[in-house]
Amino acid sequence: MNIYPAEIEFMAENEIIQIVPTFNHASHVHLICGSYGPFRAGLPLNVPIWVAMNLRQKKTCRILAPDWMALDKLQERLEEEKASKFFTQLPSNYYLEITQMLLTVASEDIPQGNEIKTAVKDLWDLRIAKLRSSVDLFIKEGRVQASLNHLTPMEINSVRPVFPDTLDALMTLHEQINSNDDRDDGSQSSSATPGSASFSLSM
Amino acid sequence: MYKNIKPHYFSIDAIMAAQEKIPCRFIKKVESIGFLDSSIPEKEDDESDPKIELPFWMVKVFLIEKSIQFDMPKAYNEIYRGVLMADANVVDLFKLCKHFYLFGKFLSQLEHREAYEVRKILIQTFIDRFKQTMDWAQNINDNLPCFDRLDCLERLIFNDARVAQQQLNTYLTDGSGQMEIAAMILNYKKRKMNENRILE
Repeated sequence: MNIYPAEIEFMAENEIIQIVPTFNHASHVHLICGSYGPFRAGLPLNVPIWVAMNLRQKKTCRILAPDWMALDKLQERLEEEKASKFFTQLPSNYYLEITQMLLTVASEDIPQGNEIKTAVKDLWDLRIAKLRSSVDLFIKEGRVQASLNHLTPMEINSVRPVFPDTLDALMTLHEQINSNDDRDDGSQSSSATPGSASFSLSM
Repeated sequence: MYKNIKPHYFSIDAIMAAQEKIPCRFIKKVESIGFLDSSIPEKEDDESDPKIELPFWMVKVFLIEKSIQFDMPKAYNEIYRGVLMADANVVDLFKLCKHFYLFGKFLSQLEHREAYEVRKILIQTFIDRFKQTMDWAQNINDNLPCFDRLDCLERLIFNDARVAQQQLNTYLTDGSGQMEIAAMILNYKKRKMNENRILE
């Protein structure tokens, strides 16, 4: 089973975000993911993104962009990502999805929306390129262990359909070398096969 | 995902791969099997020209009795191994052999002096071509010309990668869209409405 991007967006909707409501609601709202409230017109409060989007679509609140969703902060991240050989830790695990969601629903609430969109896309492209080259290197050099930190679910999902099957295929091809080739010199059989490969992707 | 990369008993790919022909010659007299395939000349009379092509599954049986000798098929012989070793990316694997990896794997399990080389070249080819396969799957919109050059195993992986990439692209350009009500819940609601009507 593959995870659809929309399903990852669904997970991202549970992230917390600040809104400024334009209505009053004295009691808390009790949700499975927690209790939120009270809503006071003009006072910012934290709610999950899906609540924020819902209220925004009814025009009963204004969404405050998360701290990291500012052009200078994103440029900084971008530079950091460019400079680093590894993946850098991002402020949000769902940066792409959140940007996409907020800019669709509340583009007026976010200053420099278009520039932010481009910056986030740049960041994504940069990280995906890095991920692909690491995957390629991993396969090419027949490594058995690698670990990539700070990957986001959407990024992991982009290699998910290819990677396990590829390793599986390689393992099948390798299998007989080890089982049938005892007569060969030890150099080949002593090298570890991707069958035992572990590639840990962590957030 | 997690396709059956490993062939099982009823795997169509494995059955097709076992049909691939292998050039071979009989070293012993084998009697009364000519009827199995009209293209096989009657062995009894045909000692003079013993070189024929037999499908893999048949060769395997004859090999048990040690009545046959075979050469590596074209795609796996020394010349092509050299080509693959030099640059696997330029080879049209599908044209060379539809089930290059599977058939190659079968072959390498037989007893042959080149079996080990074949095994090595299979792995090397797969590794060398992997990046290209992935790049094609994730980047090129019009995939047909390059898709034609992939072997069946690579096609499996390619298709998976492609579907996922298209989902991602759709998401990036159009967003996720409206959620749909599951069919089960819709039916349930209809049933409820029906029940209520009957009660009234």
